[in-house]
Amino acid sequence: MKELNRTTRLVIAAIAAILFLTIGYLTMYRPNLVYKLKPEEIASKACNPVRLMSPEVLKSIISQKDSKTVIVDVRNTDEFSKGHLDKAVNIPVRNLLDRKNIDKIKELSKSHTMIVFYGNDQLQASSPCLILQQLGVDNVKILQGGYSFFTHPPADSLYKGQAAPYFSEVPRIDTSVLKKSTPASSETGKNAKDNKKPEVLKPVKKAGGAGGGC
Amino acid sequence: MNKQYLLLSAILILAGIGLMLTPKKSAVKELNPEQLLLAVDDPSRFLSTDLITERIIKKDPSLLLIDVRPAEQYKVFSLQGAVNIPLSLLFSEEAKTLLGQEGKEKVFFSNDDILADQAWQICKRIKMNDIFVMKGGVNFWFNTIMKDNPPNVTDDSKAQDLYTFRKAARQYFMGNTNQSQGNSSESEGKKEGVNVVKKTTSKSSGGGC
Repeated sequence: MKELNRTTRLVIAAIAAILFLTIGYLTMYRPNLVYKLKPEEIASKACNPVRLMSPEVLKSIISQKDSKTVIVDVRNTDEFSKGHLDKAVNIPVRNLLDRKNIDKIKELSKSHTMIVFYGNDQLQASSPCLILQQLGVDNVKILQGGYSFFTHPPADSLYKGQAAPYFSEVPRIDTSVLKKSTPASSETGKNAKDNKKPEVLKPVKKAGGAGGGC
Repeated sequence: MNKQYLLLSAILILAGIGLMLTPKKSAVKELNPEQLLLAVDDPSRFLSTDLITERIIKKDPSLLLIDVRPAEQYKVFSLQGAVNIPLSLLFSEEAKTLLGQEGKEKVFFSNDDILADQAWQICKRIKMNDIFVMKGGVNFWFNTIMKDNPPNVTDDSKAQDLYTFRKAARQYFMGNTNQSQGNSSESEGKKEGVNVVKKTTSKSSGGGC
């Protein structure tokens, strides 16, 4: 009798344990959104020119009647109501990952429909797009120059002989300014920079010491 | 031997094996996508070029400027005291030691602010602290500080002050390179931007003597 009691107790305990585990597993916290890319992977993918769309291309897409491309305005609702591109839908940045929005984006991603994001400038759209890329959404494009450029492009004459004004991350510095004022310093500057160390501009430290009168 | 003990130990061993088989969780704690989106939506990470300039001139020891552009562009021109970590090398060992420094405010910059902001976002995701982005990047910095853009006479005093500051800063950066030719530093300082240059000289003399 005693023996039997023990085995039944053991069985009950075992069932309880299994129940406990299954309930725990079923109610386990599963995040809705999971990164598909590791930080290391996204570092090599960031700022890919494939992700960019020029204003001219977007203009032609908007003028097409049966274009499937979805245009998303990430500015806030106030700005959107004041004026936006034709056919654009408004998803402010902070609502981008709301359940219904992200579900819609994922759906479009599955059907390989292109989504073009734009903000006031390119930066405003590029940061949320990088998050989407990390979540595995790969059909996104960013409008170069953003809304402000699209509606008010600056005069071409301002950028004579340089890359088209909406291209970002292009060096637009006139290093001749440096060389003109300091013809001899360009060499010393280069030598210092070849070291690739924090002390890029060595002359500064020397100069400081001399000024102090030591 | 007691049967129950055998059973219990078997359960323990099975559970142990089960634990061994569970997928490895990444060691680095990360912000989840929703938190990252909120961080991205917050503009407080952006620092102005003028603020950075001021801190460079004052030789702020807590400032760590990180140039995320490719090495070739870094060699042509970069901000004073900046270190180069191209975005593709963000996870190299050297970069890790540089970025891991405590008590330093790491400011990312690139030609504009897009590449820098992406570097920021990746670092933010792995919960790095004290990171910022220089708004406008090298292009804006260079074209406002190294080039003369006098304000209109009708502009308010703020614009005039800003112009004076930028002019003084230009003198500082140009003046320093001039000194390598043998110009005396004091005459440079007296010409313009007196307060700016004086501050740095007094600081360095205090440390050196």
